[in-house]
Amino acid sequence: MARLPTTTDVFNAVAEPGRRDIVNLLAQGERSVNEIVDALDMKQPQVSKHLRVLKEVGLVSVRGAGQQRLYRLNGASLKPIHDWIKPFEHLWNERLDRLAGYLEEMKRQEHTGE
Amino acid sequence: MNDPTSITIAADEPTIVITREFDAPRRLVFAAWTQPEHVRYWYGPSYLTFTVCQIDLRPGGRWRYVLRAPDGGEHGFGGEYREITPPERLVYTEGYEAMPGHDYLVTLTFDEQDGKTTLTSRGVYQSFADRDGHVGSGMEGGMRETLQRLSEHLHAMKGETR
Repeated sequence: MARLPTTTDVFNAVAEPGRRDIVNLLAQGERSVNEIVDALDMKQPQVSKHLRVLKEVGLVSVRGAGQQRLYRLNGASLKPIHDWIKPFEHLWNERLDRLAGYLEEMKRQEHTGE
Repeated sequence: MNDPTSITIAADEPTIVITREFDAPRRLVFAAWTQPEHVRYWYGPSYLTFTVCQIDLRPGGRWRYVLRAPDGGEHGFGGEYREITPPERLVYTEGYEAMPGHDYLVTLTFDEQDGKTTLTSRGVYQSFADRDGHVGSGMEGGMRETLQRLSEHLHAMKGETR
């Protein structure tokens, strides 16, 4: 029987920027759902959904009960994937920041009838 | 803490999806993206200069950007327009001139609500290797093996074998 491509599990866990943000935050230490919600300015149902995916893959574990549940990143390092994606994210973020600034200039020029 | 630019690199298809919201009507965003006199101002980082910025905006028309680095090296990108539906949609091929044969298809959609525009860029690559290589070096071979070992390790920790 052919083995399933296991790399897609970890990859899928970090394919989305929201989950990458949670992983990067948990790399700094344990957090509760509310702490993650506040730190990342994400909605709680979305955070919970991401945590479920990350738990499914085994990237995060949880201890405690009820409101006091604390999530932590499991031992293994995701630094290679972080290093791989970061420059690409940076390039596009900077490029689209420049576009945003340029659009402000276009609006100004329209307004003054140039 | 969140970047305003959202980048999704799917595990199950060779795509990159980039999304961002702009505080401007889509006709301006579309113009900024399709007229060379605008593109020159924002597309490249400040340490690269445009030596070529050509856009022939019609189905089958070609576009070409060449950017020069401080060391004199030039980087060329180009492709062909497939669909042009101003101000809402633009579909074109794109490739890096130094590496022919690995072109990808980009679909840009411009959705406007209350004067703000959500730009979505969906790039579809010919293979995972092409997609991963475009994101950055390190994903071929070595990194995939690393992820494989990591995934097996995580499953073993959970008491599963996959």
